[in-house]
Amino acid sequence: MSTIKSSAENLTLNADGANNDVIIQSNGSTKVTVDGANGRVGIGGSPTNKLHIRNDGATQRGDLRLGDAGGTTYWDIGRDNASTGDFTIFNQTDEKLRILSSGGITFNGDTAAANALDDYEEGTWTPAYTPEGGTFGITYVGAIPGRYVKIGKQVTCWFYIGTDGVNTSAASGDNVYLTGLPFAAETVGAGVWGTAVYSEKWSGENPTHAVISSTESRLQLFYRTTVNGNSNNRSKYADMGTGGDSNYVRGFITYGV
Amino acid sequence: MALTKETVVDKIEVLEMGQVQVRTATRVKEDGAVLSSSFHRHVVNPSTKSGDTWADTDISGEDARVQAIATATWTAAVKTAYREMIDA
Repeated sequence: MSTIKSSAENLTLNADGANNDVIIQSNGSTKVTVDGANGRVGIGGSPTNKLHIRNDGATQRGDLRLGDAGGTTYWDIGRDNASTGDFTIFNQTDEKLRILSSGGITFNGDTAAANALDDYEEGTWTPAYTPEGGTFGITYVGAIPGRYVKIGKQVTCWFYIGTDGVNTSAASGDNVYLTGLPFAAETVGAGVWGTAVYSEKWSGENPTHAVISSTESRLQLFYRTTVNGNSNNRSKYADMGTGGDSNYVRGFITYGV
Repeated sequence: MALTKETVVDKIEVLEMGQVQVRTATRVKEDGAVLSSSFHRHVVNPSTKSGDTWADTDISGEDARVQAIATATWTAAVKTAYREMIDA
């Protein structure tokens, strides 16, 4: 065995001259390249990034291993060559996390795209009352934005709305909707999501619950007249107070998109 | 140190049934570096029902790019499919 050794001072391996590389080979095959022109290090091939590890085609669980001193416990991190280039994190032999190359995160060995957590977003939306036909002349209480959080394909929307004056002279169609939801509901057969709402200060029946139907981005409002009565009475704009400090509804709904 | 605030439509999504989902980003910047950002969303449907009558959705108040995408997307067939889905 041959050894290059420096005991009393630092050891410099210098490919002297502009842009010369430092190359480590084994049996004529390049294993490590220090790209002198660009200041990059490549393992398994020429580097195109500061540190570039090229997979050799083997199906090991990762090209980077972070282990304990004895080498008995470790995490393997890297590109999954057995798949379409997913990024994986293993705790020894157990896969804990996978980032699909197609997008999304899966857990504990699951590789199904349908189960991948592929989105998170939060923001605001603008709740509004809209008649089934025509328009309202309407003033809202303050500027109270609705809020939403989208996690994967599930959206939860919060709303709080009230009015300081409603003119229904240009409205038609009887029913009133709460519109402006930030996402359209997914298009699925029998897709309806519902929720109870708190409401007060309507001139007629206060809405008690709301639903969003497949494909739509608005809430239908309903009320219940008696304990044992029909619970599917649509809220109508004739039930809305036309003066100030009226028509409050607050709640939240979760639905699929 | 100049503080600026900008509001831009940063994402426009067209769904299977022709709905156009619009995300508006509001960004506060200091010398061009983003200090904070927030999102607001709304949906524009291919057709709007007034009473029992369907009509084209008024998109005159939408961002120009939203109008362009909606106009290109909302063919007669798309509007009809959307209306039939809602009425189903």
